[in-house]
Amino acid sequence: MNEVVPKRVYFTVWIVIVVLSVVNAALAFVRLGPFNSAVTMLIAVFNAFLIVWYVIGVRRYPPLMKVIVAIGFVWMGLMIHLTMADYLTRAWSTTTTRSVTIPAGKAPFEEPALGSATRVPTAAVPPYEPTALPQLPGMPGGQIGVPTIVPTGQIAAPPARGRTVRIELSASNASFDKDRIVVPTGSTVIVRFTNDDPVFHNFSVYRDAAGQRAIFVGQAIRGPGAMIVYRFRAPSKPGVYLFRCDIHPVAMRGSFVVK
Amino acid sequence: MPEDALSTPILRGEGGRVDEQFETVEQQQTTAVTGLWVFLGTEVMFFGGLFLAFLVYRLVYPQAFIEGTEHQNVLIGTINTIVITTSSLAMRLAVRAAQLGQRWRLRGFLVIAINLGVLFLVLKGVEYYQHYEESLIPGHAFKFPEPFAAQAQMYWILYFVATGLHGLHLLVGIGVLSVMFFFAMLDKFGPEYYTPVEVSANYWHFVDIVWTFLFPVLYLLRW
Repeated sequence: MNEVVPKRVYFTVWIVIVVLSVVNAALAFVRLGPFNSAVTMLIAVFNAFLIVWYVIGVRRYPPLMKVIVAIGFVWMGLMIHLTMADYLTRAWSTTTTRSVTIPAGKAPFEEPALGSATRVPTAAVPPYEPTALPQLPGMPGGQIGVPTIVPTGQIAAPPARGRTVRIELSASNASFDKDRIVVPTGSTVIVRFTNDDPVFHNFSVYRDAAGQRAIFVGQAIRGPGAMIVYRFRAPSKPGVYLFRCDIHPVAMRGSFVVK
Repeated sequence: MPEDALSTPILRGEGGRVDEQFETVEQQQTTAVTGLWVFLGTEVMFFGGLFLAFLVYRLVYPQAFIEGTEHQNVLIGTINTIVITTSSLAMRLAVRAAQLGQRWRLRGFLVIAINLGVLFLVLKGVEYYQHYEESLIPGHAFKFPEPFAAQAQMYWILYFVATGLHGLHLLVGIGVLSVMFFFAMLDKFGPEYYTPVEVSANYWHFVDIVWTFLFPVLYLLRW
């Protein structure tokens, strides 16, 4: 490990790192879909490898010393791997998303004032019991003992004559279970939102696709198993609005249809 | 009775540069570099913990962290990346000069490496001042548009802890390199003995490596 290395090795590495760093900085402003972060970090790892291998000169180290060099990095890899194995799987569940239907007339929670939200303590959520599920306006009828399942993309609550619409919405694995919610114009919308993720989510409705002009911004809650009830007035003008989670606006969004 | 071999400094030529527990200069140098890597292993774990904390929070609050990142000055960040990489190159060339016994080149490259390190800290200071002007320093004065003020503050806490610790390492490195420069002026190093320069250089490269990760993680994850 004592031999004198030709200067060009060091200069080549320097040029490669400088060029790659500039490219990396430029790529941060170009949309590459899901690859931005991956490309950014791959370039960083490659640059670090060049420094360790050629500049510090680990390639010329005796085998035992290479092992010693590797230990720190391997250990850090283990730390990150095991921690992420925990964090990324906390939301996973062996059961499907619970669907608790609000009993007609008797809500287990106080209905909040218009434009506000009530936090429902987890304990207050009634356990799932196989009782006859009341037919909510527009909801597919539930059989005894079978949770109501609203397939993604299907109309959750089509226009009803009543002025109040109740919607069940849940979030798990950083996605909503619905990508389309339909309500009548000017109706009072009650959204019972369940968050099954160990991170914060909320529910908001906007006039524009960019999420600049809010109709309703709901308070964020953190799961798993957290529930909140939002209540707000739907716009009186028919149209397709945006609903989303403000914390994950790219992954968690859908059409809020008023007609 | 023959001369006591154990107390005779057989291989302690070159002005006592090989300590008695070692047989050769190579062995002594290998030991020193190995010791440095054991230290760097703890440093990898140390900064690794910080990166892990960042990763977890980045996954929990992606939008807030992206909005936090958008306040970064990528131009200064890129310039600083080039500055620290060049400083790293100068330090490696200093080691090479020591290996070849080029005294003046050794001193010159050390001066370049030290000054580029100082330049990095100055540019970092300019950035910190910009953050101060924008009220991005966590605490009472922290200002950030809702609804992610609290989550974005977490980004800025991690940013200041990570870059602050990196800056501290750089400051220590500047001190170590200055000592090397002092010894170089006294002509302590030559082809047969340059271990301190090698070890300091490796530490300096490590500080560069940390920045190689800090720059993309703190400035470039914008999607």
